[in-house]
Amino acid sequence: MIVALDRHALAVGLAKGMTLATARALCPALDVAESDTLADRQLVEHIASWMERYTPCVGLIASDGAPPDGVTLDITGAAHLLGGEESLLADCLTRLRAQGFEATAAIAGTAECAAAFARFKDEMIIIPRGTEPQAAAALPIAALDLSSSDVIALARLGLKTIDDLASRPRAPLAARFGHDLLARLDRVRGVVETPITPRRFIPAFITERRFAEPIGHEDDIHRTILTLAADLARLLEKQGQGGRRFELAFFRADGAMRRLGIETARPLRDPKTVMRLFRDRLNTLADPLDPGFGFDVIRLSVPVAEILDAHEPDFDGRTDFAEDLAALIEKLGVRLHPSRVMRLHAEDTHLPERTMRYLPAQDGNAALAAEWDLWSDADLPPLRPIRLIDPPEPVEVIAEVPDGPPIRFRWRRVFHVVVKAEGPERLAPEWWRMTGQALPPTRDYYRVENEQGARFWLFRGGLYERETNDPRWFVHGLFG
Amino acid sequence: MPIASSDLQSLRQSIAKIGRDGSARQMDPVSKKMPTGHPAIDQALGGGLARDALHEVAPQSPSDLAAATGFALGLIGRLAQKRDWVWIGEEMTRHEGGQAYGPGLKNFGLDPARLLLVAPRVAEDGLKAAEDALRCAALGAVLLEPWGLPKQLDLVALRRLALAAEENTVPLIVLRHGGQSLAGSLRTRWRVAAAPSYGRESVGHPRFALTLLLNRQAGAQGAGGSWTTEWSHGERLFRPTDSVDHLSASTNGPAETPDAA
Repeated sequence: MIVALDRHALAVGLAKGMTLATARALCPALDVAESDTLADRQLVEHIASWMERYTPCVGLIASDGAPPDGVTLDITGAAHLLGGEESLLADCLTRLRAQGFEATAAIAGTAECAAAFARFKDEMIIIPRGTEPQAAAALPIAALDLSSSDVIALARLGLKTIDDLASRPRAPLAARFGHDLLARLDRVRGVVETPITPRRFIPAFITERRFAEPIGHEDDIHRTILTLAADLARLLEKQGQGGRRFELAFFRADGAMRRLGIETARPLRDPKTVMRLFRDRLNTLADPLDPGFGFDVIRLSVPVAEILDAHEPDFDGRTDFAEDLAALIEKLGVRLHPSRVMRLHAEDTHLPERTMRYLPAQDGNAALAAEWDLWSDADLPPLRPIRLIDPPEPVEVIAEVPDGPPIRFRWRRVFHVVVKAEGPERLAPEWWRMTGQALPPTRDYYRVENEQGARFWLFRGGLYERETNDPRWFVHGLFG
Repeated sequence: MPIASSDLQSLRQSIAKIGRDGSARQMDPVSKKMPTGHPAIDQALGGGLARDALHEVAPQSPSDLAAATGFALGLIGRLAQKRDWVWIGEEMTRHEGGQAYGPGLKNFGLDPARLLLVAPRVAEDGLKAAEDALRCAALGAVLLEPWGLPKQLDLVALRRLALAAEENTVPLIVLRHGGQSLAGSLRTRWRVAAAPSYGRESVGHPRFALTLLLNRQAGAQGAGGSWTTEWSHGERLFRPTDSVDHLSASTNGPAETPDAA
């Protein structure tokens, strides 16, 4: 079945939905390519990303139930940057054609109206605001994107254009075809406006630079980022805000675009710091930024901002330390990934592997010393290991009695003779946290020391005779 | 007012030091040293472990990894005091050697809230992270735990790290899992083995058998040595084991061997 076809195929008389055999009969020289919906989808997404060069508010349009085959842009306030609507439209089409696409485009007061014109008129067209209903009159019924049975039914009634429909009384139409038809009619005629659903969240703070001559030199790019960051800092300062996330978008003249994001540990607006973070990011890219023939639009935006007051240092300079540390956390987060720079947090549970959680340090959850008070005991030798083997590793253990301490054990092919053992410390499963699951076995923990003095944290899973007849042993940690 | 000749002597020495390297910071090299608490070790180190340098800690055998970790953590507990410190553990080291365990660190006398844990995927990232960390003067210490002996950790890389440590007086301890010793700008190199803890029945405070293999500490004779020491997490210091044995034997002699009673 034919899913899509080009201008020449249309001219020969082929149509969507035709079987391949019929099409071949009509046109033996037909070029056929297997349809690949996923690739189509990616291509449309890619074009939509690239379209962000004109405005950050870009949405996808699709016929009912079909994959998206078009892009809508909200160019309110953006057209003047390119010398008006006409030159924006021309620029857009020229660039798309230069990339080998066949495209049609239209500008109108509402997205659906523009979409209808782009689909059903070949030439590029700008509908002056307020004249949409008149302009839409000549569009065919198909522009309403109705089900095929509705289209056939309307054709039988002799209704072929939007005008034919619009000039009819509405009530009988609604009764026969449902209110949906009228709603579609109103939208295509530009009478009712439906907002564009942007593909991406639109940042509150945006700055950008457009270049008549695309830039590609590293120094130029860095300089541009710095000026953008300075512009952004002024915007942020006016609102008393700082960015927690920054995003750079590079648009290449040939249709490629690349996004780079950084996250910061605290609200930030200092242009030099922002610049430094991006430079680190750029330097550590596994897949470096490829300017090709140059970028012609570079945009810096802040998708996430927070309140940032002017910085007031403390008397004892302690804030400097905090600042330095926050800067380090940020830097490492950019270099590695925020999730790879962590703080330890205590959890209120006695299950050893859950008493502690690693959380990204830059999420601002300052670690608290008090969380750990439970574990301090100055007199006793350590009760918990410094290194936790997680998940616990099974070991072969020989014990004198099934519920006694281990005498010998083998872990990672090394045989250990236990000289001293302390325990058991019984840690029962937290049945109150488990609902509807099988209860894991109770654990009996032992701190043991081998002949050489190496110290281990072992446990036996399952109470002998009560829970199991063949308890298994695990090593769960190593003591210093 | 008469001045004792020894005072005058030390004053002259201090002035001479300012003159030589032109920096007032160098005036009192002792302040850049952290005594371990163990008199013999401190003597060998010329007063204590240098804060502005690189130190290598490695286990004697693979089973001594936890002991080496314990010794390194003890040093860090003393070096960092109340400041934050960074533990850069390559991902593989966490899988193989276990991950830093908060309750255990607290038991060991370290505040887990002061720890910033960095888990780089590969050695190269770890090195860069270490350098970034050493350039942050707010830190008390940096612990770098590479997996094996990464080829990136060469003479040049170590030199860079050493310079960063020196500039900001942030010490770097490299905790090796195995493989060959680092070659280059190290101030000291330690081999650590576990040593049996005190007491016959119960598992006591952690003890380490230390060997100092390389000693380039200022003011030291450059001599190595071997000691056994016990980490006291309450006092946060390394103490000689003989003093503990002796102390316990004299104060509560019979209690030393409860099983014999």
